Amino acid sequence: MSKKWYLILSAIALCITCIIAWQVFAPHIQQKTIKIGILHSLSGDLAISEKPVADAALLAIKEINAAGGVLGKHIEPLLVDGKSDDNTFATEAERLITQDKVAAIFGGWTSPSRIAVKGVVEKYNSLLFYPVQFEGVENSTNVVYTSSTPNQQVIPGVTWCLQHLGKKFFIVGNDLILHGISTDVITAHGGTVVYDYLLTFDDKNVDPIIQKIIDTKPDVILNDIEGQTNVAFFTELRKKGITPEKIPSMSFSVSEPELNAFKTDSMTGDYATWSYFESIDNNENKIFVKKIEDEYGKKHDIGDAMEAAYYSIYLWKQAVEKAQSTATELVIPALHNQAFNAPQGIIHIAENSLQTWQFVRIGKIRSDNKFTILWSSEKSIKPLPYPPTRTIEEWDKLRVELTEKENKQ
Amino acid sequence: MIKKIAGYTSLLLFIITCGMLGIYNYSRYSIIPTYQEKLMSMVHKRANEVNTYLNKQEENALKLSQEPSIIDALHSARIISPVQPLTSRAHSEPVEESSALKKILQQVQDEREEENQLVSTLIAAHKETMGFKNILLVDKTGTILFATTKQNLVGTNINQQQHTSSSLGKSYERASMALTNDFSDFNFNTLLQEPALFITIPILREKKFIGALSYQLDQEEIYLITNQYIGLEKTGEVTLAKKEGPNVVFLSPTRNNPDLAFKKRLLFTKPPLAIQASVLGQEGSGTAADYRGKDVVGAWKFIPKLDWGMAIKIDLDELLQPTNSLYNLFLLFLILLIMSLLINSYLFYPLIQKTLKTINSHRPFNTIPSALKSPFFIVLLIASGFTAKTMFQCQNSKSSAIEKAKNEAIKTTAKNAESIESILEKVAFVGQSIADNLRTQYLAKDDIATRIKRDIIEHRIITDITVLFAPYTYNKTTEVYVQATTNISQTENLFKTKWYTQAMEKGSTWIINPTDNEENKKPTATYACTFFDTENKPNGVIAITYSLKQIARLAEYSGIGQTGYSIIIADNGAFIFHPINALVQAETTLLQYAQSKGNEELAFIAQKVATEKLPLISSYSSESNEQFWICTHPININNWTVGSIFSQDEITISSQTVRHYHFWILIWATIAIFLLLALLCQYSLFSLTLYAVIANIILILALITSWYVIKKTTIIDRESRTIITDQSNLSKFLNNLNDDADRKHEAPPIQIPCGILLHSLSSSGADNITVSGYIWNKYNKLLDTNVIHGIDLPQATRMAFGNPVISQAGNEETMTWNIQGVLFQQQNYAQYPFDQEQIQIVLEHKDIEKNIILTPDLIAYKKISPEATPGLDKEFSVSGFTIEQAFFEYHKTDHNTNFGFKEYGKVTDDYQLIYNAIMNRNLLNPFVLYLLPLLVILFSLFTTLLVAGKNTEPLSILGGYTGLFFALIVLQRSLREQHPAGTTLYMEYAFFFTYITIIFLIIHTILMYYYKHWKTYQNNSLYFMRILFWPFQCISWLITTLIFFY
Repeated sequence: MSKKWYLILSAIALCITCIIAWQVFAPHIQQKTIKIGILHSLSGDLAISEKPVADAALLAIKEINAAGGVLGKHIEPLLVDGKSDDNTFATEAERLITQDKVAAIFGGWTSPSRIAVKGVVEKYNSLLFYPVQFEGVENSTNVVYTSSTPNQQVIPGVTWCLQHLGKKFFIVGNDLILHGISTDVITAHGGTVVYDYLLTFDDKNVDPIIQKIIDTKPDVILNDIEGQTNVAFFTELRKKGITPEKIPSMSFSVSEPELNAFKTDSMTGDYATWSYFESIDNNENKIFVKKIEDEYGKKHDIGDAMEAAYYSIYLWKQAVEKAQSTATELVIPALHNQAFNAPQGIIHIAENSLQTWQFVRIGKIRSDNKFTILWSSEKSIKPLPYPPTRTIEEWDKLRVELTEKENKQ
Repeated sequence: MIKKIAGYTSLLLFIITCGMLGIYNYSRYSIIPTYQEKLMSMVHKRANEVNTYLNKQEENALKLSQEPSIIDALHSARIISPVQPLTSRAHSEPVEESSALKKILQQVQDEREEENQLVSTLIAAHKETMGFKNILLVDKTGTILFATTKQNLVGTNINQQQHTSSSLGKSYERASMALTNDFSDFNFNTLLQEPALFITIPILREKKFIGALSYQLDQEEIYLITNQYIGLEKTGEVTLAKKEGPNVVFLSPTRNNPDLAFKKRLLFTKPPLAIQASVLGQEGSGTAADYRGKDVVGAWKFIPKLDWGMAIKIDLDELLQPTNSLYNLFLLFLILLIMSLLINSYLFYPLIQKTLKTINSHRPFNTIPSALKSPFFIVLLIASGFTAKTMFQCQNSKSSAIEKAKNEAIKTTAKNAESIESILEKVAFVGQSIADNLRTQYLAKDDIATRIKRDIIEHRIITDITVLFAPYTYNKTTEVYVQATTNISQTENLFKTKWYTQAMEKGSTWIINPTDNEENKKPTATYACTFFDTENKPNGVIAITYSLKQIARLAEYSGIGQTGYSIIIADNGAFIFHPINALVQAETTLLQYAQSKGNEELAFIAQKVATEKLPLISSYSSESNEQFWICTHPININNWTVGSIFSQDEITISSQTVRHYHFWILIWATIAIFLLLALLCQYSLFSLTLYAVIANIILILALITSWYVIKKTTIIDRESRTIITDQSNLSKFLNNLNDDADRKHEAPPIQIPCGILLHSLSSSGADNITVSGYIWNKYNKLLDTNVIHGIDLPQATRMAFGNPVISQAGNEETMTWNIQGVLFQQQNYAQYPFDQEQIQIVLEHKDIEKNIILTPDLIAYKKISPEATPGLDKEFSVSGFTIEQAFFEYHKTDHNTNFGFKEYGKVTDDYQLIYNAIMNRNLLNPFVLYLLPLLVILFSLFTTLLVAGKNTEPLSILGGYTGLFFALIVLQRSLREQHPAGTTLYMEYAFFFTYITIIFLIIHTILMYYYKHWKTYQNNSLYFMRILFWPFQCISWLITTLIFFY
């Protein structure tokens, strides 16, 4: 063999060796992680509600990583404490985006915390997956609302009360927009609001509310009080002899984890409206409940937000795989119409917004802090961030007025 | 020269074989990804088109819903069409009017009519232009005020209980509760009496909810988008489906199954269904199974607004068909290559031997016996290896099919048991919860009535709740106090009931009430538990009566194979569910059932099940002559047992697969024996002539073995047929039919038992048989009063029915007819003489307009196993055939007409009862008539070849060949006349090979005469012709047999 041929054959052999080596080692060389932020209150008043939600999101991440990750990379969750403070939420969100370069943020609990993070993700064109039911009148293109809009919770909840419990309503809670929506629905169906009691987040004195209820004699109490104040409110109600048989209440912010945390049975017999209840009887939910139990023991009662946090991660994963990228501008279009066989049923993100088609269920609180499901929509309901009782302009105007009012206070 | 030809042939065959293997591999592994990609793009396009259509229709609906005149009409909440005469508010009779009043009323009437006309015209016009099937105006109370079609709907209130669960009722409920546009479920709508899909738009006027507009979409528009088959080859189709609990429900007819719409399949199956991922919200592509169980290549996508899944798929068989043909061709060339190599080995033996000697002399392994160094030995080892491997594979496939079915049965049974247990736990929870609340006084005595009513509403399975206080425990003055959801006339007797005494004794109890609910013949059961006072003293008993319908349904819908079924047995051994409802009604135990059937094995199993809870056990049923498997799983909460029963015959691998395996074993074994002979021949143990003789014997044996395999594997495959072998599988079929009828909102089919007895059967022409015998029907005089009596044989070209003999027994009237006539019966002779004749007699009831299903009158036959040939007279015989089996089966049919009946399309119209008689041809006749003369002709040819020398006069030889040639033509013509067929008969191939042989011999004779200077040919050809004469015949026959019957 001539020297020339020897060199040519050696070169070919070297090339083949390099190609094979590249094929074998390339996936390992490229293997990196995709960072995402899990932003929930791990300390402060809201930690009791938010910690289980963060756990549900971490469980989904663990499952996805065990199955090979996303785009061949593992997901690296950066768990950050929002400290039950809206400003901390905004600061931490900014840090996650600018310093840690996360692909998306999953978190938030109260509306102010969401609104604070919304400003940040819109500024940096990032993504927030918000797993809690919200008051509507908002439709950001950088926030994926994976829990209920008003027409998936408040509106059917109020209508059900009108059909089954009575026509006279007493509204009590912290959110003015929700009060506006509830009043609209009650009026639309021919009911009346006997009193509308707005409670500030810091106000823990429930005695005046109870007195007003006794005075106005409503058929139903609509309750969207946040957090521990519920315990005082319901304990006082029972003390005054107001039982669910006499005046039932429908709550929009009390789910299984809260009932468990309140350590009271004074709410037994009352009602709540959610998309998800732990007592849903289907295979998907049984598997989900078992997974949570296997991972965290029986310490968690599972609520709507936990379920939403769990499938939010999966929806994001599906969109990233469809877009073949974690870039926000590519993931957002891929998110539309993404569906997931969630414990509540098959849910999907809307075609024209980042709101989620959800089921609606009405449940009655049992003594074991679970719900007996009385009514189910049996099909997911289209999300409407702006309820049809007013025009979008009217709702926006109301939102502006409320913001100005809050700022003045 | 011969060596050269052989060498080049081998080389050519080697190149062709390698080339074919390469092309086959490339085609097979590139075809699937190509189609996946193509189907993925199709499914995206079609799903987008469906989505666009839905968006457009939603937009149209919204536009029309904003029309002020429609909103006004809804607001005034009056029925729009048809226009009603004005009536007094207090009376329904028209009022006596004064002329002035009359004028005013007339004016109002005119104005209203004008308005109605306007709304009516507006909606009707939009209905047409926007492509809706129907538009309904529903007011806030749920009353339908207007409908563009189906005027009878006007005035119906969809909030009434019977309509709330309809897709329209549900959609209206969602839309009105959430004040949101809603897409309804797509299913059979009880109101409209047709499958319907709606968009419901809630209407607000001055911020008040005043009603809704429901727009019925035209599903045909969606089918038009989905059911386009361009680019989908011959078997490609589009399926639409949705998830419904653990099932997937198909929503559209498909190309391969026009009746698929609204049929259910289990969602999670192995292998997974192509549609499975799509109904769970996913998209993707790959290979999977379809609803028919066929392997397919498909792509799938979720249609979000409707929660539907769409899958586009093509049968894998079709896509791989060209490659399969290529594979068969490859195998053929491989065999030819091996044969040519063998010939070469023989021809080049001296050279090979010389080379080996040279090699051995230079190598240290020359001590190894030379036989082991022969190339024949290596190939012999390979062939033997393949023989062993194929035998192992065959055995393994048989046992793994049974193992798979066993595992599936264990899994299904355990799943059913778990589901039933969870239902029972719920029932127990309700009772325990009331008991707890009574003990803690959370539930006041006065609130018991409200509580038990609420629990009944919340738990549909519960039919009745009774809270019975022990004497004087309610209060000191009341001896008997009971709260129940049903009326109880004799309260004192309640203390004597089983549930009260047992619950007081044991704390809680589970009792079956088989005859409690006579109305729908579905039994109920009762769970009872004691409740205590605050000091933990027994205060009374809570009895929860629940329907067993839902529990029975779980068992009803699960079963392995076509005829497998599930049972539920109570702790005392009595059937809670069995396909034969009478067994449940009579509280028969499994042991009693086994004893009544005289089945000792089953009786033994019944005892075992009661004591040991064995998971899986087999039993032989002498009734149906089959091996059965019984799998059981206990329900721990109340010691019930769930069982699955399935026939082994149904789950073993198909006879076709067995035949394939046996053919391959035969091929490899024959090759191995040939190689062994070659090895022996190499050591000159026998001459070439003797080798040819032994080779012929081996080939003849192989041929006879292949015929034996064909005979043994020509059996009916039961997997895909609904064969009725006993009362259980008949009941299972009828239960499913009743459910189908229920789903389609039809009355349950009238069951009319029918039987047949054949005395004689003979062939009369190409496609006709003449039969004589009896047929009968049994009518229930009380129930079947409006039914026209009689039976039809639709295949009859000429049939005489004798006067019916009518016999009465109680309410049962049996009508028996003597029949004699000719039936159309297509006969397929292609596989003659190994053809199996399947006589199928279709039985149809005369009154085809009615919803009637004929059922085999099983009790009229002593034995009903197919081998017992029920329906054939003892003396029954068909000349030239052996009767193998006779049985009834249901066959799905698809008439392309409605026979002029508007109501045609009932569930019973889809099924025909068919009586089958399976006959195998006796081989003696074909042997004597055709094979023997053919062998005589071949022997004559061979003899001519033997006696012919180099110098024999050619004309005398050619004369002999010509004579034999004409004899052959006459024989083949006779075969054709007797067995007319559109294709070549198997036996005819033997004739063709003889023709080829004659042509070769004639050419040989001519060459011998004219080319005397071809010395090699002149010296050797005759010898080789004689040696190769019989191997050529045998190999040709063998290869043809293997290919023809593969």
